Amino acid sequence: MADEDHAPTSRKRVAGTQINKDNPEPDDDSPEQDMGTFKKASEEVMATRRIVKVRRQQPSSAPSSNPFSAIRFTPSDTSAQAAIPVSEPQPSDIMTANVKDSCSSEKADEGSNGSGKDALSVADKSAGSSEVAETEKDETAVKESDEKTKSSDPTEPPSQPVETTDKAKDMGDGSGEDKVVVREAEEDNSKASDIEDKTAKEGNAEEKNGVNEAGAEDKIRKGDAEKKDGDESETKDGSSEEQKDADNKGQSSSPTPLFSFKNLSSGQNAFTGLAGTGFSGSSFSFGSGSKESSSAPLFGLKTDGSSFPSFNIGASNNGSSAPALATSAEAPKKFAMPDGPVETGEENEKAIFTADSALYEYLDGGWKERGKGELKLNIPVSGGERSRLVMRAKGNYRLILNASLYEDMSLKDMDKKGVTFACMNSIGDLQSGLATFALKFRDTGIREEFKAAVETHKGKKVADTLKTPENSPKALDD
Amino acid sequence: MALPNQQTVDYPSFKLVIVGDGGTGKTTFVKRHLTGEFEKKYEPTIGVEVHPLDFFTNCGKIRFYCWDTAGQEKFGGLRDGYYIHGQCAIIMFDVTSRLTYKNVPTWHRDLCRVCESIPIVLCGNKVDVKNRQVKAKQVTFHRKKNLQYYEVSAKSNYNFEKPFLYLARKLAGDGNLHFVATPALAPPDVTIDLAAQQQHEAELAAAAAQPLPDDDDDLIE
Repeated sequence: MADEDHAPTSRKRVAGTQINKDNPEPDDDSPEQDMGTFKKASEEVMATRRIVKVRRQQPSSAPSSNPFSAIRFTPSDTSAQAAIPVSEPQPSDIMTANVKDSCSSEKADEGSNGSGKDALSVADKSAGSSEVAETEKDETAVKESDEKTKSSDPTEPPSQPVETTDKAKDMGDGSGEDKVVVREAEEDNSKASDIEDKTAKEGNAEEKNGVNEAGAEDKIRKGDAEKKDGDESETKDGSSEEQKDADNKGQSSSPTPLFSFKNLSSGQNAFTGLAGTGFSGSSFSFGSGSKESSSAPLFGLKTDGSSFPSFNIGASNNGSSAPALATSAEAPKKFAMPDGPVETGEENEKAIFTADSALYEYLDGGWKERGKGELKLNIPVSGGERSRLVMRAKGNYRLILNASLYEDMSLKDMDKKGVTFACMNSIGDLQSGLATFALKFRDTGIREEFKAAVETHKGKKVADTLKTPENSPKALDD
Repeated sequence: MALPNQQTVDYPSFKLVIVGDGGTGKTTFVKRHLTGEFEKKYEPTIGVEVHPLDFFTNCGKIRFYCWDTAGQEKFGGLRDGYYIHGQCAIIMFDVTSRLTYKNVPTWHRDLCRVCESIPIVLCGNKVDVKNRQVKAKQVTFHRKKNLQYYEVSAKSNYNFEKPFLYLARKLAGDGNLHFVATPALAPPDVTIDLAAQQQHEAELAAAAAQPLPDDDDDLIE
């Protein structure tokens, strides 16, 4: 998610600009959660917005049902259609009237329905703040409000002066909780969501200032989710995810419906986890293997090797106790033998020559490098086996040369401190035939040492059957 | 995770996804580990190539199925479809090309979209080149994303095992894990008949005439 600022619109894997020291890459540690500022929109912007009203018709008596079910979307009157801003007292008085209604009806329910307290307190607060607003704010608004309250007329006469709107916006407390600002509300989803947001905000209306300011929906929503945690966790989750989405897309000021289907139902929305862009997807994952846990080893130690003879350390029994560990990411395994002795297969041998070298194999008329590392000429300690050349790559200790010497082995000097010979290299599972290899040493002196060592030991084969007739005389010679 | 024609092994195996811009050396890096060869010729990978790569550790043998993916977009194939069920990853860029480093966040983002929290190593390849364009100090992306960064060179083998070592440690949950020598079983005796021997004499002569590659003389230390 943090990478969204890296050319989110450009094509994948194509840089927008070349970076250099004068134009370094943008630091993507920069605050991504740009919350914007609380700023009142200009009048012409406000004039283009549609202002809708909500009212609470009946208090919700069932605590587990959608607390917003009582909220009804009132079709906005012609004033909104005509792009004339609605004055502040209008929604305020509507709210007051409705809230008072709901208060009275809820008080009746209070005894039997303990959880009706939520809605009740909401209503109380709204009413209280409305009263505060009425007393503190300028008198015209109060008058209007009083009049409207008396008349309890839910719909406002359409013509209200624009100045009243500005004044009302400055009022802040308790005045905006029931006013919903929707920018170009072409979709019902956005309207409904905003209504819910606003409604949720009623509970802490006194903590809010400037709720009716344009472009602040996201922040408000987040604040709602945080402060309203007592009400319902589903709504909170949905709200925070919406916030994430909004941040991801950099639409901190746009109330367009990223969050369309979230809160419309009773909060048990099956798409809640899926609605994100994938960064918030803690609710699902594709596989078990992708969860990394640093405390849960994915594979355990094989326990072979301690009681087996050294010849058994090949692939045949290695890991025979743990076939199921391959992909079981969830199974934490203990390392029974954290740092046991490592079998090299050379336990009964002695290296009589070692040198750093580079190994090449002759293939298709050219030399292919096979690795660099320490070359060893091993002779058996107890006798009875062939001497051999063993070489492992530096770093990963991969076996790259493992070949027996033989009597007719001939070494030819090459340019550049190299020597070439033929051998049967058995390093992998597949058995290879005789192939031509070359070793390159650091200097010719080492090469001569190597040649001498090979010449000395290539025929040594004690008390074993001779595989070829040619090797016996040379073995005797040596 | 395993391909249909892949043989399964009885030791732990992991899907390793290798991503990065084209020409950064992903295939060469994998090939270096597989065969020891350093491939100079550039042949773009089409789609993906999967290679099993075994390592012996003090905790046993492990295998990485290296999904060497295409870096070039036009050969991308399934692209992030190859990432599914990836258990660890290497993001490679070329320290001689700033653009490839610039694209690292994109690769990382695509990777993390599919594989949420897998151990990832960032590798700056070709550090053997004298005039590099991305200095070590300029590489900062890994700090933000909590990745491990290694400067590597597939040519000189500098640090070339470190990415695998880090991933193995992460996957095993054992920071002390280390690679150990591959066991060298006793090789078979060489049995040569005369015809084969003569044939090899000829090849040996031809091979001896062919000069060894000389671009790595300084690497035998």
